[in-house]
Amino acid sequence: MRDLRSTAEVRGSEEPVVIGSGIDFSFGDGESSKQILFQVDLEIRPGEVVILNGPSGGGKTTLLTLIAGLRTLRHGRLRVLGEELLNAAPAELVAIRRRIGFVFQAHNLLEFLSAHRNVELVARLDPRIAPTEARERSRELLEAVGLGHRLDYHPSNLSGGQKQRVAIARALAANPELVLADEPTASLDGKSGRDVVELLRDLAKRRGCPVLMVTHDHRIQDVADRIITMEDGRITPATEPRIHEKIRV
Amino acid sequence: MFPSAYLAWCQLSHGRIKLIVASAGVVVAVLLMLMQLGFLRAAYDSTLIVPRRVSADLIIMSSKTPSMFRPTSWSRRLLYRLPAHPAVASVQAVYLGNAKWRNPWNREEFSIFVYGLEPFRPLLDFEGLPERRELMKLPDTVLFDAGSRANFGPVSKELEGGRVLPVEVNRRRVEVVGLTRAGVTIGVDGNLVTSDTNFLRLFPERHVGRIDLGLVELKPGVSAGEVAVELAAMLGPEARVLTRSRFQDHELKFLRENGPIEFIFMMGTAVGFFIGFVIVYQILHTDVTNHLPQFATMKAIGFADGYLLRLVLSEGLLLAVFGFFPGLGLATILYEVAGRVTLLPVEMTLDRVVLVFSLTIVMCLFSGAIAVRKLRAADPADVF
Repeated sequence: MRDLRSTAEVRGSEEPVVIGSGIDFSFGDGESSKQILFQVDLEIRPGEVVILNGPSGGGKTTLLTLIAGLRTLRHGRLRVLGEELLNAAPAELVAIRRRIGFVFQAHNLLEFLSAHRNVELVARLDPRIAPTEARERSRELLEAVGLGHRLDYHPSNLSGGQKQRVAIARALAANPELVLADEPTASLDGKSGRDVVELLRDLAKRRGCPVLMVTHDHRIQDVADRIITMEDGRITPATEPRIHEKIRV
Repeated sequence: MFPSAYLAWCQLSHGRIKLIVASAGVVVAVLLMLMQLGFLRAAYDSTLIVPRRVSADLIIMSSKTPSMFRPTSWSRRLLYRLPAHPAVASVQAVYLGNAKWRNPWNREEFSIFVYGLEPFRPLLDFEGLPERRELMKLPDTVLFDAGSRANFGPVSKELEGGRVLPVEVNRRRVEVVGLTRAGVTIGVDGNLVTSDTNFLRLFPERHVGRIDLGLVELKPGVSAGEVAVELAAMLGPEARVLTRSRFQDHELKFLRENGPIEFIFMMGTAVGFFIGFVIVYQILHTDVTNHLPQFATMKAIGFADGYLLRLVLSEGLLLAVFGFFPGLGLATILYEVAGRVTLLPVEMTLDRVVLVFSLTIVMCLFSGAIAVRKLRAADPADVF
C-alpha cells in the first residue's frame, strides 16, 4: 500500500481533499450481503479533475456516494475535506454534504422553481451568505454557464443541456470545496455533453475546486488531469495516471 | 436558507389545478364544520331565547319538569307561600301549554305554544306586550309570535296597520291583537302570548290552581342564590327553585341530554374534519410521492430532514389558509339562507370562527405529518 501522507507531501502543498484507504463496502447483511468495494484506496488532491471510469456495476457510483456522505462507511478509512467519515452520524454527513457540490446524472432540478431560484436555493444553504448576495451570485453563475438570458425559465422550458448547465451552476453555488459528478453527460448528445463537462472543469479550475467525475463517456476522458479505473469493486492497478497539463486560470 | 414556507408556496402554486382541488377540499371541510356547529349553536340559542327574557330573579317549576317546553303543573298555593319570606317582593304564575292553531287560510291545524301570564308588569318580557296590556285584559285576545313558522299563515302581514285577526285556537275563537317576537326552537314552531285568564279560557281542562312556572321578584340587594335555598326549603320536594342562570343551564341540559341534536351535529362536524383530513392527506401524499427524486436531491445537497418536514407542513398550513377563508365566506352566505329557511338564529360568532380555524389548521398539519412519513423513502443515496 502506498503511503498516502508522503504522496501528499510530494505534491507539495495541502492535504488531499479526499483520502481513502482499505475501503470495503457491502449491501445487505449476513448471508444475502453482497460486497461491492474491496480494499479501495484513492486520493484526490486540491484543484485536481479526476475521472473515475470502468464498466457498469464496478462500484464507481457506490464509491462516489460514500465520498459524498450519502452512505455510511463501515470498514476502512475515508477522510473527506478533513473529516473522518467512518461511522459518521447522519448530522455530520449532512454537514459534509453542504460543503460538496453535486451534479447528478438526471439534472434533478426542482421543477417548481425557476433556474435562478434553483441555484439560489443552494447558494442560501450557507447561512453566512446574505439573501441579496446569494441572488447576485446565482445570477453570475448562470451567466457563467451561458444562461444569463434564461434566469426566470422553469426547468420544463429548458433543453437537456441547459438543464445540466443550471445543475452545474447549482453545484458551484454554495462555494463547494469538492464537486462530485455522476455521469453528467449521460442524457446529453456528444456536443452538449462535451460543452457541459468543459464548463464544469473550467469553472472548478477557476475556483481551485477539485472535481471527481464518474463517467464512461469516452469522448470526455481527456478533460481529466487523472483517470482512475474501477473494475469489480477494485481500482485497476494497471491504470497509470494520465496527467494532463494543468489548466491554471 | 430559503424560508420553507416560500418553497411550499412555489411547490403548491406550480400546479394550479392541484392547488384549486386541494383548497376546494378544505373549503368543503370548513363549510361542513361551520354549518354543523352553527346549527348546533342555533338550536341552543333558540331554546334560550325565552329563558333569557325572564326578568324575575328566581324561577320555580315542578321538580318533575325537565324543560319549560314540557312542563308538569304544580300547585299555585305553594307559590303563594313565598311572599312570607322577607326577601321576596312579588310572585307571578305562568301557564304554559300546546294549543291547536287553525290556519285561517287553509283550515289546517298546527301545534302552537301558548304563554299565559300576568299582563301587567310581567316578569317575562315579550316584545309588544306592554303596549297592548289594556287589550290583553279583554277576553280572548292573544299576541302572535312574528317569528313563527310560515305554516300558521301570513298573520304578520294581516296585522299590518293595526288590524286584528280573528282565529281559532283550541276550537275557540280568539283575536290576534298584536305581534310579539319569541322565535322558533327545535321543538316549538310558533308561539302565542296571552293573559293568564285568557289562557284558562283556551285550556278549559286546566285548573287555575295548577300553574307551570312561578316567577319571583326579590327585594333589591339580596342574594338570589341564598334566597333560592331558603325558598326551596319552604316549598318542599315538589318544586325546584332556580336562579336565572341556573334556569338557562337547566334548559340547555335538557336539550343536550334528551335529544340526539348534539350527537348529530358533532358527528357532522367530525365528518367534515375527516373529509378535509383525507383530501389534504391525499394531495400532500401525492405531492411528496411525485417529488420524491427532488426531495432526495435536496437531502443529498445538504438539506436536513427537518427542513423538508417543515416544507410539507407549510404546504398543509397554506392549504388550511387557502381553504378556510373561502369556506368562511360561503358559510356566512349559507348561514343567512339557513336562518331564513329554518327561522333559527344561525349566526357566525367569533369563537366559532376561531374554533374552526384551529380545527382546520390541526386537520392540515395532521395530514401533513402523516404524508411526511413518505419522505423517509427519499434516500439521498438513490439520486446517483
